[in-house]
Amino acid sequence: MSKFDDYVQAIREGVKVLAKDTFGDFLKEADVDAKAYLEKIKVRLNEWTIELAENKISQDDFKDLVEAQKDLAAIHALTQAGVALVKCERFRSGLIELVINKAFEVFL
Amino acid sequence: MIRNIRDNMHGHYFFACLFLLILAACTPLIGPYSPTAYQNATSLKAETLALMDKATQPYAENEQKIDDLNIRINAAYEYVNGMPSNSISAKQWEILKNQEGNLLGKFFSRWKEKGVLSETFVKEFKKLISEAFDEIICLEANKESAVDCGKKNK
Repeated sequence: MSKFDDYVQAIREGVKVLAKDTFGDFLKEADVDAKAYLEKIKVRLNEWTIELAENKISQDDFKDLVEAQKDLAAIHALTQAGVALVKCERFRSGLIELVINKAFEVFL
Repeated sequence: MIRNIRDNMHGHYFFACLFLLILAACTPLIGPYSPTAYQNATSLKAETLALMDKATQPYAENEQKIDDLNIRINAAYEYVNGMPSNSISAKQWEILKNQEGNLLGKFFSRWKEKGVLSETFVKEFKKLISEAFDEIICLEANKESAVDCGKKNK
């Protein structure tokens, strides 16, 4: 096996560890987060409906709250997208470091 | 030694270098962590929620404070928007502060329109605004290190 083959193999193994460290169970966590978030909205809508029925809030108030929740959900989605990008950025930085460090280890 | 390396790597060396150059040349996917942006978000959250508590009192008595807060929120947005690769955080601020939108814009316009707001409405709306700030803070915190903000938000 040539040194280059050793190098490629070392990177492959390093990438597996890096991906596990960076992303972990990201997809599973995202799925759990989405379900929990939807559940929270459901509970909140239920509370507002009760408050509307008890005349604690007006119809206008109810409409405003639902519309505000819609915008808040958009902000939440942006957070999720941003956190995913942060993980990708960390993975990319880690990959560059790995490629350089393994080159030094194998060839020098 | 260099000749040895060259012999071992053949044409692959070129592709490895190319790969590295491509990776290194890419612009960041997302802007870096900013302590200022984080500080702006946390302090503006506290200020905004405190001002919202006053919405059970006449709007006219608080108009100046509302204008001042809007200026500081706009400044925080401009700071975030001016950072490279930071469009996601900027978009969050845009939605939160939008005068025609459904969060702060809606709350302050309703307050102005009605003069005073009911305690229940203020209490419920505050939860939404508080969470909106938490989302912004969560993203900024994650730029520094991985933080599970979900548990706090749930």
